[in-house]
Amino acid sequence: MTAPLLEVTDLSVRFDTDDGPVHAVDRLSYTLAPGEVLGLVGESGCGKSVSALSLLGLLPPTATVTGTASFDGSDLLEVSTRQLRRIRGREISFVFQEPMTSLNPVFTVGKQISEVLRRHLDLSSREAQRRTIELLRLVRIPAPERRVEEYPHQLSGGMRQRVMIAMALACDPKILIADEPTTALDVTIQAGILDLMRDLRERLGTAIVLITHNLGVVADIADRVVVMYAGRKAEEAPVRELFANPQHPYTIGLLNAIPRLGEEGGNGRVRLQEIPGRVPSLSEPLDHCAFADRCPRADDLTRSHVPELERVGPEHLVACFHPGGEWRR
Amino acid sequence: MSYVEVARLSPAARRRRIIRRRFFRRPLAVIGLVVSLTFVTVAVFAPLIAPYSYKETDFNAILAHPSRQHLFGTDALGHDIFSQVVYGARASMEAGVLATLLALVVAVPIGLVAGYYRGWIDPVIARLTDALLAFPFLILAVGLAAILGPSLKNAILALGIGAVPQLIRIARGEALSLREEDYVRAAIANGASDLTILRRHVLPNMMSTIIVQATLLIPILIIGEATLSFLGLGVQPPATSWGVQLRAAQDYLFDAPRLAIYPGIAIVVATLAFNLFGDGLRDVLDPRTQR
Amino acid sequence: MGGFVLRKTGAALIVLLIASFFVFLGIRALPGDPAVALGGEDRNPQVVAQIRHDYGLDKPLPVQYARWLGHALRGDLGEDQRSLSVSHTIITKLPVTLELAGLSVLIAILIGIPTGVLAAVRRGKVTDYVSTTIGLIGLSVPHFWLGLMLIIVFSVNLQWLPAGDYVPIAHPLSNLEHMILPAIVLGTGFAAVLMRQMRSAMLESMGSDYVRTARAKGLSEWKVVGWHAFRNSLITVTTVIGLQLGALISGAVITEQIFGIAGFGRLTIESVQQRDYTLIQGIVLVAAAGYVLVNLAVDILYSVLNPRIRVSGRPT
Repeated sequence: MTAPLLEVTDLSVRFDTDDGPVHAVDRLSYTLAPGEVLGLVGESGCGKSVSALSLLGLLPPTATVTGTASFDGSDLLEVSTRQLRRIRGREISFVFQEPMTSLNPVFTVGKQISEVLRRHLDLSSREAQRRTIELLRLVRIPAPERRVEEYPHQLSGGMRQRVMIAMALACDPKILIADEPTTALDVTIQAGILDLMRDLRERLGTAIVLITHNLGVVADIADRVVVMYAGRKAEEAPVRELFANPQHPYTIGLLNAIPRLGEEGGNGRVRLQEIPGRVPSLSEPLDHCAFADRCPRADDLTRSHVPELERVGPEHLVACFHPGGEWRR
Repeated sequence: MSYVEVARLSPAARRRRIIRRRFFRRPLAVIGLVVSLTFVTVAVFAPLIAPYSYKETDFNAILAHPSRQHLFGTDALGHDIFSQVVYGARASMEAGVLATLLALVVAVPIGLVAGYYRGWIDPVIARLTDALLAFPFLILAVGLAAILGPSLKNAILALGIGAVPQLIRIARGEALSLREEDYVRAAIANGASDLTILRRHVLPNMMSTIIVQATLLIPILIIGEATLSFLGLGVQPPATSWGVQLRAAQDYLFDAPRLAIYPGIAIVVATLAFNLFGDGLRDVLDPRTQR
Repeated sequence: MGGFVLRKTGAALIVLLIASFFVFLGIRALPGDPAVALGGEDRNPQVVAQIRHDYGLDKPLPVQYARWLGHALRGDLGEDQRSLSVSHTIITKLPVTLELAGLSVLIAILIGIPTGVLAAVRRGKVTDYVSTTIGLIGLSVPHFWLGLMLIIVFSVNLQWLPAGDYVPIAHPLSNLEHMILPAIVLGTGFAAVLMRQMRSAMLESMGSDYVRTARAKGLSEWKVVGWHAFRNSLITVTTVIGLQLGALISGAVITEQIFGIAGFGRLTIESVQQRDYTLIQGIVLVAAAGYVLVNLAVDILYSVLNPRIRVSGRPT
């Protein structure tokens, strides 16, 4: 097995807010191999975005981050800001969720891309311009020579996202972190973006951490999946294994919740399966299983102890006292 | 309060607690509140606090330096400056608060109607307001005071009316954006009457912005009254306000600068206090300034 | 952008028209006979009748307004109590005030904008608290008091600067000597507002998503703050500048009074104290017109700075 590109160990993030502390991430660990696509899945607020932002030091000052994130011989969480700036955009890039607000409205799209090139690769303005147009072509934006001079508000949502991707890939990074890249887009555009990402991965060999709450997206392009709940890792498995053999009740609940066409039930219709209850408040690190309140398998054990990750198959980990079980396909 | 008790409070009461707690975490805002209340108290209880009546003159002590009998000294007519300042607080507080209330009472309904109903009345109100806003506030106030004649009452009127256009614009803006909120649309779809919607949904949600604006308007109008009186258009002697005192002080800048210093400091401190309070209030009520 | 400018200009003209109507009405709203008011204190019935005829006061209101407006557009604002041309008086006094205003704005920008940025960048630290408090104090200090204080300190005690009068710009050094204190007085309040607005705008843009993106791209903090954030904040602040200029005009009124500068502001006070209504009318009209025009200029500047207005969006 090749050495991992990124190794995250016991990552925890705590926010100090006006209303008290919030433990957004609790001892998260995972690895990323070169060229691999890792899906980071969970519902809103489960800490997946926060964990990714913490890797590049992009969290607000109210956040306290502990743990290690080993990349290229150094710990991302310990290096100086100067070194971090050399890594940002060059070795590890970020694609944000909202392309409209994530692009600066007063600068042209081309300017914002060439900015990265000139910063890290020290290109001249003409070279940077050339490369920018190339990048726009790479992400399949038609008429890139014209687009370069345009402002973000002149582009459609899908195109803006492509621009963000181009910006992220400009310096050929080893890792691309994509935070809900398709959530803000129409379903038809989504497919195009995912297609693009798959293609880019093939061509450039960039490792991708794909953060999403949409299992469909994960099934589409991920190699491995980490399922998060309430700031903790609930389950981890290669994608096929996860869909074939989910172990954690939360994962099972997620998969069951995917509506399917043409199902029959008592009176010809099937009610959408939901996971009852709500995500627990994160003001205290929980001393029991985070999912206990909503879990059909909850009992005294899960309500009083924290389940640790256990191996249930080759490369398949679950943090649960009562893993396993059937789910409707 | 225990967690259980807090949980039992209504959402409105809970929100008030949160706001109160956040407010008291800000020392500057609290100081502002305390000092503002002090000034209001001084204004209300002026006769009890001032050692001399503001009309009382002592011709033996003209332009006297501060002493035990006269804390801040005396002015050209033998008035005790400290008492003057204390009584001056009355006119200034009256002007600041009453003029603000006047402006609120007039501007908020108009702005509300314009922003909520739109239709034909909105452009009319908007254009009229814009036209009034074409006049710089003080010029407008001075103009109105000139028309109405010099007195405290007229100054309050002039200031209040002068503040109306800006307040209309704010109220209108709020009503306009609140109108598009989903819960308002839901209420309309459910057939609620306009009055009910305005009363239960629009007005309460505007309140925080309006309150902040009002609190920040008071210091502006305090300075406005002082300015008008300074120009001879507001309070007329022998009645006194800080502005009147400053007007008289002009002739004695070289000999007795304290005539100008004390009332001026009073204005600065009072204004600063209201500004700090209003600022703190705004920080606490506007969720966006949280970070 | 052409459409934008056209629309804004049109709106400004309409506003100006309505404002002129208010001005016109204002004088007519006075108690008593307008003919007496306009003509000064002379109660001679012949003179009053003459004034009535000259001003067309016997004609219906709309006709009066049209006549007045017609004259005004041609630059004739009538004659004041001393039979001097109002327009002429205003034109001679205006440049003084404009110079004062210009200096004040310069001071305000040079002080206010950098301090605001600094306060935002060093948010929560000592620099921020100090700047914000000084800024608040600057807001709370009434112009005339600051003027009086500065006179006391610099003219009375230190004898550095003169306390009044005005020296024409032909003698630049002496002119500056006389203008510097009043300009500081006016500029301070404006600087305080500018500082607060800049700080608040910077805080907002620094907390925005695109600044986060800029950081994620590995750009230096200078670039992120000074280029990405600042450029956006400038847009927000521009709107404020326009609004503040009204306060500047008001402040000029007091400041000129205190420093004995014979400018437009002092003219305003004199006219009010003398109840010279024709003069007041002309002054208020010019003040309003100036304000509207300046705001128009600011609106245009805004559209230049903000590409969303300048370039229309064409989503594909």
